[in-house]
Amino acid sequence: MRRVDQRSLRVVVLPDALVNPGSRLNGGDGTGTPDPLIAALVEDGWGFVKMPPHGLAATTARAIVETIAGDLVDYLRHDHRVVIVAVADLPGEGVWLDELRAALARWNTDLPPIARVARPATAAAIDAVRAA
Amino acid sequence: MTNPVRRVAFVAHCLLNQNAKVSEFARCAGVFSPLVGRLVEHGWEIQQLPCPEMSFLGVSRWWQSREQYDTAGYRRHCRALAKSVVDLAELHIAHDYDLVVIGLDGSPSSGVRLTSTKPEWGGRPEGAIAGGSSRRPGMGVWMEELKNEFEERGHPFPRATGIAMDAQDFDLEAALVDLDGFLDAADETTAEGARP
Repeated sequence: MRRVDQRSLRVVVLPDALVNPGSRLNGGDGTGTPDPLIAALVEDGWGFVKMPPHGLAATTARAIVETIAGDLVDYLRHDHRVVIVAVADLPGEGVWLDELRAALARWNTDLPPIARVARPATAAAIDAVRAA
Repeated sequence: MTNPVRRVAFVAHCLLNQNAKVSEFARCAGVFSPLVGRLVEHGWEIQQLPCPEMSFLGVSRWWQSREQYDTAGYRRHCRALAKSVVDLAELHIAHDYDLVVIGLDGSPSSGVRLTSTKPEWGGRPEGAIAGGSSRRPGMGVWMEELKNEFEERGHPFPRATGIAMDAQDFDLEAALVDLDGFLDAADETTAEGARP
């Protein structure tokens, strides 16, 4: 008997700073909760691909971004919707955008649509994700 | 004045993204929200582990047992991913974070306490139609390689648990009671180690 598979086929690429806004790695004091957009995305059924924090060494970050880019290429090949959530006032817009673009280009793949949001990202910002 | 306790959970990729699951194993649309809700409530930051199955074989991969993933090539792939994870973990350790790992029990790769087994699988992929793999105690291949990378770099493997979403008899209520117990114990451990 086949099992009921509940995946949404929708993936959102997220900055670490929205998931862990108070992180010491992002210059915070170790307290704080995810921006309200995160709960809204959970409720809306998006799968998360969280990018690495910017305190990470560039070589390590590039390796992680390469892996993520490969996953995104596969999702796109298999008809998933992929949206990047970017924050303008963060390095690399919070998602290592230059590195991600370069990694995708190696697989002849353009950047997926980008939803640019401000911090703190409100629940209402989900409209930008849906519209991207 | 007390420094805020800093804690981070490294969670199996698919607990935040069910789109990465092998076909028929996605139990919710995207994020396994009971986990995220509890982590936020308990004050844990969240880091997402990579899914080695996804990056090795893609989203359209067949069902495979632990024995099929237990190859030198797949272990090399897992170890390469583990290096970046431990780099990130070391950054947290340098910032005095308490770490835990939350895997996916029942998975051939991400199981912590429970993994899959079906030694006879191989060749024409019709065996799964007759029934899935079985479960046995033990770690999946990815978790083993992650543990090895931590230990080879001089770090104990963090306290770890798994959510048994890949077990045939998955019981959500029991899994959440188990998870609450793990997080409560982690609260106590962290409180004991809190710095003045």
